[in-house]
Amino acid sequence: MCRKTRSLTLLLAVLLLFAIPDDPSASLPRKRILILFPYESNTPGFVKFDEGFGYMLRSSEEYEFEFYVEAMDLTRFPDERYHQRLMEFLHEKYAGISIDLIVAIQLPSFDLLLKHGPESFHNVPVILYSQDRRLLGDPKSIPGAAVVTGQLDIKGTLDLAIRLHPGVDKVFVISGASRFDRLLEGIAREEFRSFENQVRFQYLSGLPMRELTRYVSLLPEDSVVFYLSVLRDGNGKAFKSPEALTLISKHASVPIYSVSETYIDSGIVGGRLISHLAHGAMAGRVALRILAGEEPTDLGLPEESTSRYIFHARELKRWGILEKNLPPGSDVRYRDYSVWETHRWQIVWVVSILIIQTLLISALVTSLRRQRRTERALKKSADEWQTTFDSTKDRIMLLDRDFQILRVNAAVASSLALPLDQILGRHCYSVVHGTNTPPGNCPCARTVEIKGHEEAIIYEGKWNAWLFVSIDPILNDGKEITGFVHTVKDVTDQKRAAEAIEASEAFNRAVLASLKNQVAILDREGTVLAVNESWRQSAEQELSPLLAGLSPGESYLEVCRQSVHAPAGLADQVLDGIHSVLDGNRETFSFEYSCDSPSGPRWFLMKVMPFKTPEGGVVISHTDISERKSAELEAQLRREELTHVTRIVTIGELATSLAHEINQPMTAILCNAEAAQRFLSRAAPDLDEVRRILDDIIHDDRRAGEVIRRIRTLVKKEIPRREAVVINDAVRETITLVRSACFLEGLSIVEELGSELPTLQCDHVQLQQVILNLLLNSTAAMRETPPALRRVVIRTALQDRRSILVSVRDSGTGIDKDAMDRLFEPFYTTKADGLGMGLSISRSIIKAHGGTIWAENNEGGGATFSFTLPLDSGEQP
Amino acid sequence: MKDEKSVVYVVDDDPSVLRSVERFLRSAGYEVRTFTSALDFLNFPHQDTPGCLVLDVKMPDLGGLELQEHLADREIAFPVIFITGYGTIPMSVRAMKAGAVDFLQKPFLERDLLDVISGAIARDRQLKREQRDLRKLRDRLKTLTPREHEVFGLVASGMLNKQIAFELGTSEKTIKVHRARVMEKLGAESLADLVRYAEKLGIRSKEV
Repeated sequence: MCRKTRSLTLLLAVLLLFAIPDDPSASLPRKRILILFPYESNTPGFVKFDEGFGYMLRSSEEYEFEFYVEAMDLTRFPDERYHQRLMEFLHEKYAGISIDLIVAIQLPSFDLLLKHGPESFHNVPVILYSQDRRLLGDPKSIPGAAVVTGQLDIKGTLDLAIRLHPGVDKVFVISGASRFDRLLEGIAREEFRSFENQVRFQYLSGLPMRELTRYVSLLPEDSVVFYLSVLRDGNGKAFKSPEALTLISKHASVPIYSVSETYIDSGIVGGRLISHLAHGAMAGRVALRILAGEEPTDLGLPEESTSRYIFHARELKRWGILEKNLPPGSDVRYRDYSVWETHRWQIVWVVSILIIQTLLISALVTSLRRQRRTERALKKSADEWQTTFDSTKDRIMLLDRDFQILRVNAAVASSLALPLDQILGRHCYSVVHGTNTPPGNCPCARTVEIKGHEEAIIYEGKWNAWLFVSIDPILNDGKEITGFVHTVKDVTDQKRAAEAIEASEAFNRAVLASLKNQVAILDREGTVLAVNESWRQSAEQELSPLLAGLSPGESYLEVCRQSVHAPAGLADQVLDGIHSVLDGNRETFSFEYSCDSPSGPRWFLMKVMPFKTPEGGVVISHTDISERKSAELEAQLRREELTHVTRIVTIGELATSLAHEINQPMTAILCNAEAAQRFLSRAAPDLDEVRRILDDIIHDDRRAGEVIRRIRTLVKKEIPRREAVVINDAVRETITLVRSACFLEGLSIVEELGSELPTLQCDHVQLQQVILNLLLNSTAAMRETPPALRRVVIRTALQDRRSILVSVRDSGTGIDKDAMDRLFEPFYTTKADGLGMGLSISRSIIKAHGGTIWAENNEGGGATFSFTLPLDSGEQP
Repeated sequence: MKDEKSVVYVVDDDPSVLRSVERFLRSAGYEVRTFTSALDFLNFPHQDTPGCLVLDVKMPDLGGLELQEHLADREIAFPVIFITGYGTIPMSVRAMKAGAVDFLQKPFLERDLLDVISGAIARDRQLKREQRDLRKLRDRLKTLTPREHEVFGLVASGMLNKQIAFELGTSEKTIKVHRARVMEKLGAESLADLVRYAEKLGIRSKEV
C-alpha cells in the first residue's frame, strides 16, 4: 500500500489503543451492602435507583463493594408469616457475612426490618429511602435510620398539565388498590385540593384493570389523566407499575401525566418527573458518608428534589403540544433518536476516518487513471501524428541543423525508393539530389539567413514535375536553429491546370476579338464585363446609338437609357428585353431596329442571351443586317408589285365579262332614254312612265358605276391592309364580277355559304383576288366539260372554331398527278396564254394571312381548291 | 298587209334591260311581249301574227342560241335578232349560220335595232304570207285526183300534152281536160304558174 494509507492506518491503530480502558486495580477495603426492595426485582424504578446507587458508590474509588439485593415481592406475598420466615432466611443467608450497610427501600422494607429483622442486622446502619417523605407516614416512626427521600412533584405536574392543556376540564386520577397505591392517592388528593377551582377531579382508584382500560378509552376530550401508581388492581392482580401504565395508556384517549421518570416511555406525555437514578445517587452519597463513619441519624438530610420536566417527543406530537410551550429546560426524550444522536462522536470519528481514507484512495486512483489516460492520449496523439505524417502525399523530412535526415514520412521513402537505413542520417541533398551541397535553388539557404519560413516553386527535370518546396526552421528557446522541417509538394497538376486555364482564357479572348459581330458581355447588374474589338470599332463609327463606346465597369443599361440619338421608345424596348433575360423570364431576346447613322439608315439585329456562368449575366450581340433587311424589303416590294400585276392581269382576263357587266346597264339606259324621248314627243306624254324611266336610268347608272368602282379597286396598287371582312360578302362580290364570264362559258355557280360566319381580319382586295383566281381557274378547267355539267360550287364554312374555310369545287378535268406538286409554283401554267402566277400569288397572299391553300381532286371528277384563313390575324404580310 | 298587227317578242334575263327595251320598242309603236327566260317564251302559245324575237344570248337555263335551235327543231320560223353584251366572233357566226336575222352588240344604236326589227317583221310578214299561200296551195292540191296529180307533175316538168298522153296511155284530149282542171283547181293562170306551184309544192315528175 502506498505511503499515505500506511501512516493513516498506524494512526488509527494508535488511537484505538487509547480507547481501550485501563485494567481495574485491586487492594481496596471491601464493603458489603444489603439492599432490601419490597417489590419485584426488575421493577424499573428500582433498577434505576440501584444503578445510580451503585455508580455513586463505585465512583468514590475508596472501597471495593459487594452488593446484595433482596427483592422481597411483598405485594404478591403479603402474608406475615412469609415476612417472618423471610427475615429468618435472610439471617441465615447472611450469617457469615458482615454487612456494612442496609438500604431499605420504601417503608415496607423498613417495617419488615424493624419487625422481623435478625439480630445480626441490629447494629448495621440503615438507610431508608422513599420517593417522597409523605410516603413514609409519621417521621417519628423511623428510628435509627438515615432517611433519604425525594419529592414527588404532583402539584408541579398537574400545573404543567393544566398549562399545556388550557381547555382541560376534568382530571382523572388513576391509582391502584395496594397500600402504596392508596398512600400515593392520599398524597395526591391532598395536593390536588388547591386545584379544585381550576379543574374537576375524578379518582379512578382500585379499579380492576379491565374496567380501568375501558374507562380510559371513553374519556371526554377535554380531560387529562393523572397516573399515580397501580401495583395491584381492583381484582387483586399484581402489576409492575409501568406495565399497568402501559396498558392504560394503550387504551387512553386523552393525555396522561405522571410523576416518575420510569414512566416516561410507558405512554405518558411527561410531567415533572422524579429520577430514580438521581435518588439512587443521592442514597449512594449518604451511604458513603455512613461508611465513612458518620452516624446515620445525625446526617440531617434535606429533601432533595430531583424532579425535572421530562417529556416524550412522540406523545407531545400526538397531543399537538409544541415544544416552545414547554417550560424552559425541559427534557424532550425519544426524539426520533437516531443512531447519530446517540453515538454522535463515534460516528463522526469513524466517518471522518472513512472519508479521509476514501479521499486518499480516490485521489490515488484518480492520479493513477490520469496517468494512464495521459499515456494513452500521448500514444494516440503519437499514432495520429504518425498516420498523418505518413498519409500525406507531401514529402516531409525532419532535418537536424546540418541538414541530416532525422525522420521522413512514408511519402519520402516511397518517392526515393530507398530503405530507411539508407535515408536516415544522410544529408538530404545527397539523398535527394545526389550532390554534396544543397542545390542552388533550394530555399534552405535563405531559411538559415532569416530564421524563418521560406518556400519556392521549382521545376525538377529529373521527375518532370513542378514542386512546391518549403522549409521551416525549428528554433529552441534561445532562438537558435536546432533543425528544419522540409516539405515538398508536387504541384505539377495545379501548374498544368493553371496553364490550361491561361490558354483557355487566351483562346476565349482571341475568339471574342475575332468575331465580326459586335459583342458585349454584361454581368447580372448590366455592368460591362468585356467588349470585343468589333464593337469598339462600330462604336467609333457611331453606327448605332446602342453600340456606344463602352468600357468594362460601365453600365450598359445606363448607356441605353441616356442614348440621345435613338428613336423614341427604342431604349425602353431594349432595356425591357435585357432585363427580361437577366431576370430569367426569357431565354433570349431578339430585336431588329433601324437607326440613322452617318452612312445612312441601317438595320441592326440585337440579340440578348444569358451568359451561362455561375455568376450570371448576359451576352449582347449586334449584327448589321442592313443589307439583308434592304434585300428583304426589296423582295417584299417585288412581291407586292407582282401581286398587283397579277391582279391586273386577272382583271384583264375578265375584260370581256367586265365589259358585259357595264354593257347591260348602259344598254338599258340608252333604251330607256330613247323611249323617254319618244314618249315625250307624243301629244299626251305619260309623265309617270317617263319618271319611271328616269328612275331606272339612274339605277342603271349606279350599277355601272359600281362595277367600275370594283374594277378600280382591284386595279389600284394599294398597300395591303387589314380590315374586317365578311367572307360571304367578299365571295358574292367576286362572283358578281365573274358571273358574266361564267355564263358565257355556260356554267353555273352554286353558292353554299355558311351562315353567321365571324368576320375575318384580312386584306379585302387580296382576298377577292384569290377567290377570283380560283374561280377563273375552275372556269378554265371546265371548258371541255359539256355545258350542262359545268358547275362551280363555292363553299364557305367555319373550320374548327379558329379559321374560315373557303373551297371552290369544279367539275372540270381535274388535276394531273404530275401537276399536283407544282401547282402553286410560280410560272407553272397549263394555259397557253397564262402567266402561271395566279396560284403562286394566291398562295403567298393566303400564307401572309397565316392560312393554308391546297388542291385536291374530287372523286366524281374535277378538282377542289380550298384555303383557310385564321380568325385571329396572322403576321404582317 | 302592212296594217296587220305585228308583235315583237323580247327575251332577256336582265330585268332592267328587258324593261328598257320594251319601253323603247313600245315608244316606237310596236307591240311588245316580254319574257325573262327562253323557256317561258317556248311555252307561250304561238300565234300566226308576224313578229320577231329579240333575244339575249347569255341566259340561265336556256341560252339564246339554244332557243334558236329549239325553234328550228319545231320548225317555228321566227326571225331572231340577238342582242348581247358579249361579242365573240364564233358566237355571232354560229348565230347567223343558224339563221339569225342579226347579231347586235350592246349597247346598240337604237336606230339599228329599229331598222332590223322592221326589216325582220316585214320579212316575217312576207314569210307568213308565203306560208299561208303555200298552205292554200296544198289544200288545193289535195283536191286533185290522182290522175290530175300525175298530169300536174308531168306538165310542170315541161312535157307536152301529147307526150303526157303517151306516158299515161290516154288521149291528148283527156290530158288537156285534166290540165284544165288542174289549173283551175290550183288557181294557176299559166303554165309558168303551174311550174312555180309545182316547185313550191315540191312536186317533181319523173325524169324522162
